[in-house]
Amino acid sequence: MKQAGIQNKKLHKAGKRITKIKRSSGLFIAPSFLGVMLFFVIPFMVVIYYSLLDNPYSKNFVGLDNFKYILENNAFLRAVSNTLHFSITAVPLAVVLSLLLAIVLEAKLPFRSQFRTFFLSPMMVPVASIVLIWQVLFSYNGVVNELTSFFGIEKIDWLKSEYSHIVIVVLFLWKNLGYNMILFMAALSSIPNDILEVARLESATSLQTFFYIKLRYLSSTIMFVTIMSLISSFKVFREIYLLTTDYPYESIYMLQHFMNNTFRNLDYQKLSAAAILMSLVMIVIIGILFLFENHFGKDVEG
Amino acid sequence: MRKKCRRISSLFMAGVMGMSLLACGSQTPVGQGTNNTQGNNRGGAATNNEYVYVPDFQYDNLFNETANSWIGSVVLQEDKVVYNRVSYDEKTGSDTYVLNERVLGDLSNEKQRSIPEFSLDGYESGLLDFCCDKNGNYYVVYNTYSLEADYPEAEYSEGVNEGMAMAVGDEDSVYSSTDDSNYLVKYDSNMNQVYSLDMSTIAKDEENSYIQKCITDNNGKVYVASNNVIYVIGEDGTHENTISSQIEFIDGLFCTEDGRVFFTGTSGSNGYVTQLIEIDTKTCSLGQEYQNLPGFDCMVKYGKNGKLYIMGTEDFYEYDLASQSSVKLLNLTECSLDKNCIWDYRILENDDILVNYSDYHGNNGLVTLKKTAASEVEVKQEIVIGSLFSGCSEIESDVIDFNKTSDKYRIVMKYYLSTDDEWDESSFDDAIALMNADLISNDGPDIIDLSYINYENLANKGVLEDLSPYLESSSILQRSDFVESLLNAYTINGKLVTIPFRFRVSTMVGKSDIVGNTTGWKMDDMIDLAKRYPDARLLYFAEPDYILTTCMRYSNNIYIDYENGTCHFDSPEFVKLLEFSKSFQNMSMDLSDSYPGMLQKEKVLLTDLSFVDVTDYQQYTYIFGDDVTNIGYPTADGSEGIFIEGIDSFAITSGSNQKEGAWAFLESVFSKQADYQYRYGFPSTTKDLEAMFEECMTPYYETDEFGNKVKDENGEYIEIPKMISQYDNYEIEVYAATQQEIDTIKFLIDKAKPACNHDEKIFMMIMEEAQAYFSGQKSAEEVAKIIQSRVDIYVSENS
Repeated sequence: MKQAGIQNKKLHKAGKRITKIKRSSGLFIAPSFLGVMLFFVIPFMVVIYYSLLDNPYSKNFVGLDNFKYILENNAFLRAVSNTLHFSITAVPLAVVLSLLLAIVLEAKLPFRSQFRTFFLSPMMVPVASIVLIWQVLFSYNGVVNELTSFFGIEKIDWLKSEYSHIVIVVLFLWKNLGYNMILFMAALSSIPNDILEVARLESATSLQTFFYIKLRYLSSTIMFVTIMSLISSFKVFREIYLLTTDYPYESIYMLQHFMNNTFRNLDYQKLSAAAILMSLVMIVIIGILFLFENHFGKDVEG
Repeated sequence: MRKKCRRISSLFMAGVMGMSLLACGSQTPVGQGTNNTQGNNRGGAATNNEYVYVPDFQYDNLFNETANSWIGSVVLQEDKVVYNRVSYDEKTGSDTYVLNERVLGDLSNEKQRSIPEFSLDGYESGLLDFCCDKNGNYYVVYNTYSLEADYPEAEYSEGVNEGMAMAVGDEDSVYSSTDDSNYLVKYDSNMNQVYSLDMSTIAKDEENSYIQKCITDNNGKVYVASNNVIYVIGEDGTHENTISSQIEFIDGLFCTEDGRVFFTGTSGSNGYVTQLIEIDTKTCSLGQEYQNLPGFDCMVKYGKNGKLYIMGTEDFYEYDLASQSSVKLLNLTECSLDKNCIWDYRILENDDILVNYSDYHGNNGLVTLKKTAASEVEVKQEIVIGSLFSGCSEIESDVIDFNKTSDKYRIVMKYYLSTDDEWDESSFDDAIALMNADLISNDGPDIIDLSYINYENLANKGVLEDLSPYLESSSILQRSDFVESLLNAYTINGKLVTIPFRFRVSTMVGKSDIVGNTTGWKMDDMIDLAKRYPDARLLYFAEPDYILTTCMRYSNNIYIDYENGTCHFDSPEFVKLLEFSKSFQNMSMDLSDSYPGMLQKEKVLLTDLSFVDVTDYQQYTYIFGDDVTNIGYPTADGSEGIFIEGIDSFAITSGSNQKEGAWAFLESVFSKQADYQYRYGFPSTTKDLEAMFEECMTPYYETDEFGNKVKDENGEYIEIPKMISQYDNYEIEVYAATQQEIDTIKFLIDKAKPACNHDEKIFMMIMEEAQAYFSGQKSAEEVAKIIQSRVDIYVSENS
């Protein structure tokens, strides 16, 4: 009886301690939880709410009409198509080129650190200055046209023609390669040396070492860089907007243009519907990337 | 111990988080330059949580102004108001001046003292300004001149803009004066002359000396401001010093109660921002310049205890000279005051503010802004009018009138762009974004001033209330009281979103011989007309930009199909329009002739006319010297391209909690006695419009000195022009309108369509891209393709 009493007392004490731990854990989690709720979940709920209204002022419920509208809207479809086109072109280039740069700079090249600084420098330049440089280069009377006309080539309106897509991809790469390169360099330096030495002893070629060892170890970084580049590719609007204002040539009209313009026109319902569709697409893309990463990188992640 | 530390850290983190969240609020920082001046709903004009300024109007023509007797300068003193009355004697044709005093506690009694006549042989004299010192002496500045009663040979420059119009009855303004001299005369309290000083002798180096102000300081010195120079005159009437400033024109000169003397003025090099400079009274030289004045266009008239009191465009401020910072005391409109009607002010000992006020209705007198505890003031329901900036519409005086008469509501103006701040390119967009943010967050104004605002966009979002039900249930107004085409123009998606107070009509006019007799045409017709007259200009300002602007201004619908969200700027028609516009590039013009001459000799074929009243229309059709046709702007279907645009349009917001009060305000403006004579635009009520037409059809006749009509040798009254416009050697006389002219204007109003409002963005894109074609950098097809690409996105977004 006495033992049972002691047992009960112990159990009661343990239960109390668990409750206490739970409470204090809850308290510690609370700030993050509140932050996420306040700055992510609640705003997203508000966005969902707006997407179901006729407009933010009358606030009449219209169901999924806004989604239907924007899926039939030429401006939105063009923006989606341009953004996808841009991301499909720019993101792989940003990943591959920065990886190549990292590999090249990992080799014992002369002026290695100078090269690294050179590729990193665009990160330090403010967007307004970058835009200014690009305007000087690519405006109708800009440096590029002056140079090409020197060789008898007709002037091209780089920012108001189909070429504008190329200009923006180049701008994106110039701006982002350095950062990606640094990430890859860090990942390359963290590959265990003993594995590389074993590969060398077993007469593995450089290509074999790269594809069978380095690439596997780099998979999580590739995943990270891809996601970051994808996010950056959506943010290229900032540069395009500063270069060509809110209604640019159609080939560089991005989703963010659509959202920015609809926001200014008080079309919050269109903006919200577009944002929800965009976030769904992003979730799917990132989900696919995770699957890839799991598939190719699981054997090197303990 | 460790446990305690963890708890303390946790508490600290929670505290930090709490503080961060608090920072998300919009607390007004303490110690900023301006006071917390959110409007409140007190009956007067509130500007602080503790007290409000309640206006007490004693100005129903307090100074008894009549046609022949009016008030010159007014000087406010602590216990009395002193002013000079000018009386015109019709028989002698001369002015007499009387100084009047009214004691502030008993304004009904006017104490008069005649100013001795000051004249020189063969010269007329006029009183320019006066001031008084603390010993009861008066200082009067006279201007003496000899009259030449001839109309001068005016010289006018080329161009339509420089044509001069002079209303009949302003004959005085064309008298020229010669041998101008200015005299400063001191009188003692019994109006005995102490000295007289010929200012011309000390201002001989100054060209075109014009004395705008004189004041005295506490030491008996007199300061006289002329253009950008201040003359300091000693107590005995001797010239002590001349102070020159870099300011181009001194517009204010005053002495504070503590004896410090300041002047204000502006200069082009400073962007015409008001500058405040102190005069060192000991050395009689320029002293310190003070910075951080609240606003660009300030009126500074008074100061005491190291502080100045400054009238900004919208607000009244206390300015601390030591820290050179200002604190807002009150908002003028909330106090039912209009800055343009304020002539002088001073702070009384009990902190009340005394204002010399003269409004647009001919009322003048004093307004005391009584500093009252907020709790003692009657609470009224507040209606907010949101406007982009002060002065973008003529609403302030209506607000003031409404606030004075309504015992239930009080209107407060909310400006999204302060005229006291510096504006840049983005200011306008920022202000609209702010207003939109207010509207979306349900904190928007009850009434929106639609000037410079895309009202169609707001209407499509459901922001604007349908006014039709209000009209139907109104006991004062009915739909039939308004011009139908105006109401139609502002009916969007079946909702009447606004009823503008006034409107203008736009059309294109040409000689009937040239454009035919029918109103309405297409773009191709206009191009054909230009081809038929290759040596003539289509319009006076026939630059490619202007031609394209004119053709596109009201004709966007030719190329845009909003219903289907498509546009056709890459069509051959638009390319043709671009080419047509460019054909006017470098077109030479014989500038030896004036604007009417060019129209009459068919060197210029058309004029685009936006008219706001009957005489405006008459004037611009008379300059053709022949029969004219209101052909209108080209349209897609060749129908009448005549457009109507509202002036001063206000809409009630559908989210307002004060819709009833907001409508009461609109009703009050529409039901006010017609004041179209003083306002810009055709009145929107048919009653006032008819009254305007009737008045315009009433002839003016020549009268003798007693006001009796004069007959000619046939026994007919002699009709005189209502307006004379002068264009070089052409004089356009506008007489009373004929019934035919009135009928034409009625026809134009009746046929007028709504002017496009929301296409400004498209318009700007077209003009921006077209430059590349006009400058020869790109072909018309290339430019059309780029325009199509950009505009297509805009149209798709907004369809």
